[in-house]
Amino acid sequence: MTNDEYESLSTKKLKKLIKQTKATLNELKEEMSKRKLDNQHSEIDHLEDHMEEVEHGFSNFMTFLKDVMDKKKK
Amino acid sequence: MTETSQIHSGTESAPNTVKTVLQWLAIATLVYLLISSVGMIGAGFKGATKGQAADLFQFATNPFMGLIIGILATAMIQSSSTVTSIIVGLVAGGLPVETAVPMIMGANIGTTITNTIVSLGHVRKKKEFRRAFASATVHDFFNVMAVAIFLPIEILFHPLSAIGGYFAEMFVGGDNMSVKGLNFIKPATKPVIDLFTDLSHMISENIAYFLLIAFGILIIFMAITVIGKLLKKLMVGRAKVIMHNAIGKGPVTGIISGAVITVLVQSSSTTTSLMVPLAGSGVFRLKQIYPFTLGANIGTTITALLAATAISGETAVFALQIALVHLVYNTSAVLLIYGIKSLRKIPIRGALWLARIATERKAIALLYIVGIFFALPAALIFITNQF
Repeated sequence: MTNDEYESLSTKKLKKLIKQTKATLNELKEEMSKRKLDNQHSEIDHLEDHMEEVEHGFSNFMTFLKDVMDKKKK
Repeated sequence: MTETSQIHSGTESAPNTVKTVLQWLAIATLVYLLISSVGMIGAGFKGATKGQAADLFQFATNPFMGLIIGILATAMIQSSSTVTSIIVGLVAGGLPVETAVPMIMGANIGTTITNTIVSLGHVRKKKEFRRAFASATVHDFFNVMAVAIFLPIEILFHPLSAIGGYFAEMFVGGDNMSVKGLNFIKPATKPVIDLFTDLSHMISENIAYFLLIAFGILIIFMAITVIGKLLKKLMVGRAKVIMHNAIGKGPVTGIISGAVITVLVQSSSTTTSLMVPLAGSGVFRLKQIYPFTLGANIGTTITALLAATAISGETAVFALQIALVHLVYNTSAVLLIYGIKSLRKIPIRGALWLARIATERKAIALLYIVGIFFALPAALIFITNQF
């Protein structure tokens, strides 16, 4: 809808449209929050993998050093 | 489920149960050894200094020196639980509590190196590295800030020592609520302490007490490392349940969950390092990770409290006092810094700023780690010695 089309709407219709839009926005926000929470739950389901990652502190450090050195050479 | 598969799963779960039971037995044995080794350090330190422990640690009476010792020792062995347990043992051997308090504070800073190193593993993906590094260094900023606030206050007014002392006196020192009569730890740990004392005397009569301290430190380190590894395996399921329940429930639940998980795995480094990949993936925001990290600070104090139970006799009250100082300090820091909105935001802003510049120039991350945890403390020791 364009601005001109809005101007042709009655105040009552405009109020109704605002109400509908707010309700849709709330539903979309709710859906977004739900997806975020689902993603977080699914990430926690992989906690064992993250525990393993924590074990590799030294190799993490070496990977990092290698990356820094490579960048320096370039 | 078919009958065959039921039989199959039954035969599979039996060895698992046996394995779990054995793992718990190993943990119980290691906790016993941990408690005994704290007693060994206390006895060794007392014997080595012949009651003059305060003189031996004269160089650390400067609180900044104590702080630096705590930072360096923890950063090198990457375990604050080990360092705080050793400190409890040293206090039991005569190290003054006021000398030990800055060391405990330093251990808090030193332990943050572990999750910072874990965050370096995300170096290949720019955005991921920025988020991971920020989630790790928010812990550093918080702990440095806590020391900046609490150390001067402690030097001037000793509130932490006073509160720790009050409760320690209440639990083990006073006449009314004393548990002295019920102390079964001393007879329980005596055989191990006696065994290593005899062994130390057999090796060398001259340095027997120093050997006893060395054995104690070695056993504490090994016990805490193995306990941590076993608990990680055994408690991962429980940690998952706690984290699932904490999602979307606000910061207080996050702090409590972080503390409980740390108690379960007996390592704040494990809890804070676990948060790094969760933040790195972008699924959890820094604001959500932050309370878990603070909870880890509180949960980690359980090890020193456990270590303090090893001590009996006249120094038991001081050993418990320093363990309680650790608890009171970390709890107060969370209440003060996280409780005040303007203070709460400082570690987040600091971590985001550092992560941004470290993402652009990776060498800064390396400089930061070497500088904060090793070079700066070493330089401060040098400067302190000069003046």
